[in-house]
Amino acid sequence: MAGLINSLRTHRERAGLTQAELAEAIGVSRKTINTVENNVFIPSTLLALKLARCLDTSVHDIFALEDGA
Amino acid sequence: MTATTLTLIRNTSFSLLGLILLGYALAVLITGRPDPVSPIVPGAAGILTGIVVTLTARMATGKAAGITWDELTRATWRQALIGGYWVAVWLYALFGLGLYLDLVSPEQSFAAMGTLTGAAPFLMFLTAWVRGRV
Repeated sequence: MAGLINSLRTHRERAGLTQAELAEAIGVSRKTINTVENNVFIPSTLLALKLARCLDTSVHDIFALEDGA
Repeated sequence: MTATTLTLIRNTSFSLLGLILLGYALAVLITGRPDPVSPIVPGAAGILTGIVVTLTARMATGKAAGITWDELTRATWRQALIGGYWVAVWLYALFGLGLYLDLVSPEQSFAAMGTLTGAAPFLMFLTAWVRGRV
């Protein structure tokens, strides 16, 4: 998605989790994590908050707007 | 039953239903008959799919069922339904023209349009599965 900066993969790898482990922890499929990481699917606020909580960070650290977006 | 198994059953059931409905519609158009096989087949396939998907979801844990119908899947299914709506709209135009030009009979149109309209969302879901979206 143009205009969205997404660093989910970085945060997940820093936490030492695989896509499958993160998916299991927040109750979604591995494909959902994969498509979010690849900016194919933009998660809801609820899912973004769950991701942030699981990775012990804030939504703003995972998702941000590009300059001028 | 794991979410992976449940997803495989759901996706396979949906795909088979879409293909059965598409096959029925194509058979109608090819044979020129509104009932190329028993007309109970499309409805029975739909009901059977519903039973299989519902029963397997009931057999799984709530968490597995939740993962199977997670946010991405619901969004994909919503897109498939939207696509199916537009397919239905275009079918009216297409078969209206076919009737006007006397290429199809009203009976054929009824049978083919009904099954194609039913097939569209499931075939779009199948396409999403092939693309790795569900």
